[in-house]
Amino acid sequence: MIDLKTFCDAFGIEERTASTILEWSEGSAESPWYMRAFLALGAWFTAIAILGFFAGLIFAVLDIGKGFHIAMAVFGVISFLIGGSMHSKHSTGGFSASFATALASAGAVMVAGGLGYGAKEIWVSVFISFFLAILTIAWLQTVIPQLLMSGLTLVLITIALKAERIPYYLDIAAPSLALGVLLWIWPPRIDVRATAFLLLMATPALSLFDRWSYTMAAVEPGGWGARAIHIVLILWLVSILWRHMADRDARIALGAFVAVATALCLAMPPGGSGALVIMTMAFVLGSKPLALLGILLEACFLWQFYFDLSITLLEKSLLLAAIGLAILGCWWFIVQRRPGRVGA
Amino acid sequence: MIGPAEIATLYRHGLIPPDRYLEAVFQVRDRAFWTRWAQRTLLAVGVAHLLAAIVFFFAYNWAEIPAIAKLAVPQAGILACLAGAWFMGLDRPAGQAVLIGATVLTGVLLAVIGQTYQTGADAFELFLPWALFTLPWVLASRSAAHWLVWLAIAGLAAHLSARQALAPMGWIYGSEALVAPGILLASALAAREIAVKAGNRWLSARWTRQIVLFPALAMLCYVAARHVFFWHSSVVSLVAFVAVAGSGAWFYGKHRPDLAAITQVIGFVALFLMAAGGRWIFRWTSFDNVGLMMLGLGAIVVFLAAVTGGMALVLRTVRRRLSEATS
Repeated sequence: MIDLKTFCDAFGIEERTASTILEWSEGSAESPWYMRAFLALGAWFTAIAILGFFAGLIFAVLDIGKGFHIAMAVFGVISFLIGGSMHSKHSTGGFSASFATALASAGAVMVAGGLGYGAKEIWVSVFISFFLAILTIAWLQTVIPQLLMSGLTLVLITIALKAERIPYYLDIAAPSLALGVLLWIWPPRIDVRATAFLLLMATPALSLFDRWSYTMAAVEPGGWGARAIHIVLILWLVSILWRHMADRDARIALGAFVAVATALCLAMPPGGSGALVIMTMAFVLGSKPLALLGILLEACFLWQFYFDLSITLLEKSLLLAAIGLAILGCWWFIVQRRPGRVGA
Repeated sequence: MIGPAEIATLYRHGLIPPDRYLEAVFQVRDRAFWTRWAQRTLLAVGVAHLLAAIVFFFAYNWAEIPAIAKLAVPQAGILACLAGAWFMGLDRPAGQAVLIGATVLTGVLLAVIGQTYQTGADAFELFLPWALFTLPWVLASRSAAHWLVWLAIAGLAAHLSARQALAPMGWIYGSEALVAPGILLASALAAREIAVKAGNRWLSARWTRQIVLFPALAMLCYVAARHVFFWHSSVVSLVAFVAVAGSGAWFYGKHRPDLAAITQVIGFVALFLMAAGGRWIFRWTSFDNVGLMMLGLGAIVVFLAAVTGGMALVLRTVRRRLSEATS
């Protein structure tokens, strides 16, 4: 950690400009992620209520039975446009901003749902929702609407993969994590952190969802393609660290990490290797929220891995003990090489 | 001092060129912290594997092992852990990790006693003594991780006691069983604040506050919303949520300002208000009359948007005030 002046000097930035931008950002749109999470939850509940309102309007008031999907799409477009224009004017307001976000989100669901139902094709819904998510990112440029729209697209993709019973769906979804990592490591100037976060979550979430749903039992989920992508991503992230860590001990530790991480990626479910990518990226970027997310996901997938092993409890016990001792051996090796830092 | 969030802001405003973004990140990245984080994660995963191996070993219930050995092995393990903690010292992560091992092995020992003697005890009768016996080690180890492990055990003990003892005796409704762990966690948080004020630095990391406050509020908010929705529980759940949220708002808003903590309090209060208000409006909505139905649905939309918007405004005001207070 360094102070602003040193940083600005190193990068040739005018300190006053940087300070003004940071102060502005502190007091306005840039709220911490935990605040946004609660606000997004509230906007999502409001969007569901708006959906209920429009359903009542279409079915009970206008009494549209046949062709209701067209009415839904039309109301959806109106709702999305009104919500979007309201939000672009009052993105920092209280009631108006949250109502606008909910209106635009509900509109997106109605357009995607209405046209998809009309075409009897869920991929139509996916395409429309993807288009609306891109439009939201470019037009509104705020986190919460982006989170809801990108989330809707990913949920629809998941539903489509499941409903169409597409084999190797974990491998198909895996590039999303690569795209998420790229957006974190090489971010564009527009704030796409919400979308990048959801892209990171897609493969682990699908892997978890897969475990809880039994509808896909007959379909091959795949996973080796996803694991390969995750291993490549870990190698790439480690190569970034390698370039920034000149001392020999750190590089030895990185080498050991690559060996252990590759073995883990091959052994664990694809969601587990995805969680390992998130943890590695958190380490590279120094992001505590991502590190917490990665640890929670990894704990979940490690649990799943040992639970699903078709061996006796005694054999599991021996396996756990062997792996535990190996990990502690690695820890001890690293600790011994850096006595000054580790014991603290 | 600036961190990764500030770098991202400066980058989005065009002050850092794209090809120097990662270089900027590495300038502000706290290398010592992340080295420590990686090592402690490795230690935690290794210890968790070993402890899980011991638990699985006894869960296998090897018939060939005589009862005396079954009882002796976890006891020997506890003694070995205590000796290891003594030898390594409790001011080092390794010594603290070994003492966490002793805490887990105590649970294994109690489970083996139940297995060997077929005591027929309920689960809460295992967890309660487990939490009580291991509390001194938690205090001795001065480790936040140990404290969290203990809180998980104690929270489970509170929940199971409420469900398996208090509810059957008619003292509480079954649906209120989550109030007990919620109050326990809130009390643990209060104890943490007192301990930190008294100079116990091992609990001073801010994450130890957030990680306890969140489940406490989530559990109490859930039972309070459930009470409002179904009305088949007493007012205890509602009172508990109001009391904990109110004390949290006072303490983290005025006494010990903390934006993340106050956000949690305001967020859960807003979620509860949404549930309660939505339920109340829904109750007065008639589905036989289209006009009244649309009025009710519209009122729910406006109410939810108003609560979310109100939450945004309150959070922004609190954030500004805390920022002014700290600067």
